[in-house]
Amino acid sequence: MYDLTNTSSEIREAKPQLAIFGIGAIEQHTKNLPVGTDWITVSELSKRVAREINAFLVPALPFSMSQCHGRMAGTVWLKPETLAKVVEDTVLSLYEQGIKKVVILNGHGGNFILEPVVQELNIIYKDLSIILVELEFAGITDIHAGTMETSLQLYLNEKNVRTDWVDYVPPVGREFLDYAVMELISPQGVWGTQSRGNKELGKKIMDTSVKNCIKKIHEIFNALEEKRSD
Amino acid sequence: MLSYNNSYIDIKKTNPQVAILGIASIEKHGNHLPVGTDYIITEEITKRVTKELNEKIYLLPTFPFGTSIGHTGTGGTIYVKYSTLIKVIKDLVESLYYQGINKVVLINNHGRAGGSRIVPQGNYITKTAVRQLNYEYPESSVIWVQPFSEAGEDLLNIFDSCEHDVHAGEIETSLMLFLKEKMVKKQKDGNIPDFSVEFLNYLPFNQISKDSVWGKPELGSFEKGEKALNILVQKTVEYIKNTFEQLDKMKSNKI
Repeated sequence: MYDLTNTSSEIREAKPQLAIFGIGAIEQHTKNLPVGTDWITVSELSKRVAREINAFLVPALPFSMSQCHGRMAGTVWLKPETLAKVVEDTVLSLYEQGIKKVVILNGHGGNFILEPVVQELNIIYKDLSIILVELEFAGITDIHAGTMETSLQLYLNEKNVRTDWVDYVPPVGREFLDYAVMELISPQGVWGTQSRGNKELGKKIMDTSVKNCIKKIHEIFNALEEKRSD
Repeated sequence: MLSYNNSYIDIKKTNPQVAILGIASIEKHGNHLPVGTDYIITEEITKRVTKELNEKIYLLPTFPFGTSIGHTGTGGTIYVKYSTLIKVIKDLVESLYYQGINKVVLINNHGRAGGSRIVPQGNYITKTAVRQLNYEYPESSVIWVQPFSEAGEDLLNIFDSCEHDVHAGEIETSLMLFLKEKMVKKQKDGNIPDFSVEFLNYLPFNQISKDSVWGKPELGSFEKGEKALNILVQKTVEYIKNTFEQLDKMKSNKI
């Protein structure tokens, strides 16, 4: 794995073929989890994935589309147009130095701009392959600051977590996040069940996510190579 | 129902509170369907939905172009980039806002069966545009709906190849047979690529599927098209009514 601790010449000589670029967020995660929750998680996940597949690890982007938490303290957001430009520029600077495979590892559920960005770059630059991989864990369906994020923070960052858990599932569908800010839907900023979170589950989620991400990365790039050599 | 056929004064007097805008695409639909397939279907759905809602609604002309960059280079395809489409949507909604129309429904119909209320299809940027507009104009309620997603379960009962229908297949062929039979050419058997749909983000459409068909157009029929159109309209109307009702409640309790 190569990352920001290497020199430019080390990276040039190693000729990495693939880069990992995580996208985090700085946003409220109710009263007991740090605002950096998404960034901390995706930084760790990208590091582990990059290490396993010997990729070039780009520092994970701290900020992304968190406007739905906008009025809640500590939240810092990018507009979709801004995030799009940041991702495009990052990918193109990798492309210019010969890294033509990029994995965007999305660690924040609200980054809906990534899919069109990825599609457009893949079509415009024919020898570039950017794929989009999301942090997923089967069986947990909470949406924000719930079981999954609580468990991951307990595992990765226990000293910054308090245990005054909030359990709240709003009486509307997830699509309402397109129509109203989080504060209106869930005044304490939780959509899920924090009290079910625990450290062991956090480790299991991280380990499984690393495995799933790697499997998915291999599957997609293999299929793309096959198709392109047809 | 108000539309571009009404005069300024008709619209002013009626004082519509809701506007409906369809977003479509002009792109290759195999060798058997016109490039305007999405546009023709969207226009019909939006018109019927507006009539059904039976309220003072301003129906806008459907925006013909979508983010069809995956079909680049194929004859007749006209695409806008996502960064363009979001500007178009924002401008149109803003111009409604300044005349006092605070409720806007975007009907996104450049897509396929399946999907959900959360995951946008085809014109992905529609969802993002809606979110941004609701942040920028908190006193407005802009919502989006995908008829093919809303009626997903019903379509499964009408179409035999529904689960594998992505583009120019049984569903769109049936709808076009019902709406514009003369435009539909004789179909060859379709095909179902051995890929998941996320590959549409990674490769041009015609590299994934020859002729840009993903589905079984040969199974299409006039009758299926008629049935499907009715249910697409019904489910879309229900979604619009329920969502505005819930949103009104949410906003009046809390703001």
